[in-house]
Amino acid sequence: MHQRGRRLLIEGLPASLEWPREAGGRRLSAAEQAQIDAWQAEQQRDDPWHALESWESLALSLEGSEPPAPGSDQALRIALVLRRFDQASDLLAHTTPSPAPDALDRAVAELVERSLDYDPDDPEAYLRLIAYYLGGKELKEARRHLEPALARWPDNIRVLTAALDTAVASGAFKKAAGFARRILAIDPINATARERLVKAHLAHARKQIRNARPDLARRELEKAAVWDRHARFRDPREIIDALLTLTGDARAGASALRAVNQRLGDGLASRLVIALDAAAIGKKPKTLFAEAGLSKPSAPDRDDLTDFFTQLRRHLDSGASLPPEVRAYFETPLKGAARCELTYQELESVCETLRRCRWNAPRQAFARAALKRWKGAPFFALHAFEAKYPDAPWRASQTEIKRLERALERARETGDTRTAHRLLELLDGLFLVPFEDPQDAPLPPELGQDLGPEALPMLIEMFGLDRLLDMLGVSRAMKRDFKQLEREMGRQALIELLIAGLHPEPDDPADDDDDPFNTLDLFS
Amino acid sequence: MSDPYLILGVGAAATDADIEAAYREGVKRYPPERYPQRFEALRRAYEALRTRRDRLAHELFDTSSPTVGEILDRAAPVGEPRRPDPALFAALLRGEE
Repeated sequence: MHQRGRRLLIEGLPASLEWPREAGGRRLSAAEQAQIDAWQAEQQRDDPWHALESWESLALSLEGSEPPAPGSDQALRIALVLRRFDQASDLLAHTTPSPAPDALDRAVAELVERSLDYDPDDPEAYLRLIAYYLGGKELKEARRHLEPALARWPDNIRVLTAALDTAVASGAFKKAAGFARRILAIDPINATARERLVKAHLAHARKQIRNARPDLARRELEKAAVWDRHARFRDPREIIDALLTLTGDARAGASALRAVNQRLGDGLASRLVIALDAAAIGKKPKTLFAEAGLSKPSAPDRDDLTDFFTQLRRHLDSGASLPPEVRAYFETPLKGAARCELTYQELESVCETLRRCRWNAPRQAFARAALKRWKGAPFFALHAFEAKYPDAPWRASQTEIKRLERALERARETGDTRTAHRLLELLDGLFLVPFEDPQDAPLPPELGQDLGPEALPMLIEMFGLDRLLDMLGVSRAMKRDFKQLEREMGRQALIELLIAGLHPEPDDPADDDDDPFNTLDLFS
Repeated sequence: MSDPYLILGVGAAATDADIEAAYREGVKRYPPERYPQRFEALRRAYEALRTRRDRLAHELFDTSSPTVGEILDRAAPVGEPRRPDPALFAALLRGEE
């Protein structure tokens, strides 16, 4: 009951730490105090770093002066505490490794990794780390955690699946096929492993074509066909087969390729599927289609165009990027296809797909075509702008910025909060000076002295809200609150609120301790 | 959630086998078709304490506060009606037991 009773102290921190002693009980130990602090940090949810550091402090308190015996309850406690942040937030499952070494996800991964020293018997911790590093293509790190996991659990299907994924990501397709076979030996009806095995054989076949080993490529294709019982991979098998034939017999290969193209609809979509496979063996689409006697695709109809984007999304979903030669081949016909009458939702999806692969020329064409039909639509205004200025938005003219601001107002009016939020972020970023870290940029002297609140709108206009709050040294939590206020009430309302907070009326009860402005001295 | 140790009627030092036995006994006494709520509470308590790892995680991360009913249950466990031991009751209120 003593242990459970400590939960009653969470809300009254820090004064509540004295309550047990005041009530005649014993003083709380350092570990007990750290635990209550961590509970509170987790419940508050406003500062992930504070929560993470609180759990780490608890782990340090539990470690004590001597490391606990491996396998002991205390060792397991420390491991669980070190994994707690990830377990509660599920961060590693939804994040790819940040480039910055001091990012939150890196710190979380480091704690999970440390937990393995205390509890090496939990496959879940290894699997989370492997998946996290695989997501960022940090293969060396993924393999570093995979090896001990495979040694400990050689027959665990999830560990074998992680090994298969790592092998595929490393381009070790033969190894991948070996892992898939091991999974199928344990679980013969595992459809996912079967699919992955087929994919691994197909990828290996492509690799062998690239290495000029058609005999080995043919063997891989045959293996893929054996495992592909339901012919789900018929298209890529036939395309690779045709490409392989083309390497030895130009006429037969061209004929096979034309047949596959015909079967797939002979349009923009079929060309894309073939071009992507050709790119995987290092063949440029222009050269390939010329060899196969396939002319440039004509303007697609609606069905062909939607099919094209379905295929493109499928390709991107697999984690692959869009090869530049494929991009170059399809750019002109795709820009022309922007005239095609798609629905509003279809065009939204098209713009988002093109944004995903940073294909800005057709994205701009589709967004502009949509703006002709739905004048001023905030979503398409956002895409048209982003596509026009992908790397240098500050080059935009005042007219274009005003157009964006009108789009923001309209998004707010129509309750399209997601687009409003994106537009707001874009507008904020417009006033950041490129190649300069806002943290290092001091407030210019001419603006930092003797400024009254009337300068606030101008400063926000000049620097953007984000940067201005950074320069003023506003805490992260308060910055978040300000941005939340701005989203909910609009920028003008935020400015008025800030001004009111800076210069309260004489009778204003501004001495109230709860007033957030009492903690913010903006212009003194 | 209510204290899973009290729901299953096991002590803090209970092993995997003790927890499993208590759960089976509880299910026999409160079958789900007749006592759905009791059974649900039993099931949740069992899941919270099933393995050593679960028990330690419960100790470390469960933040639900003890209720007055739980304090009384500890002071006078279910059985013949009797007056609680004053010393134990005072210790519980001080949060020492």
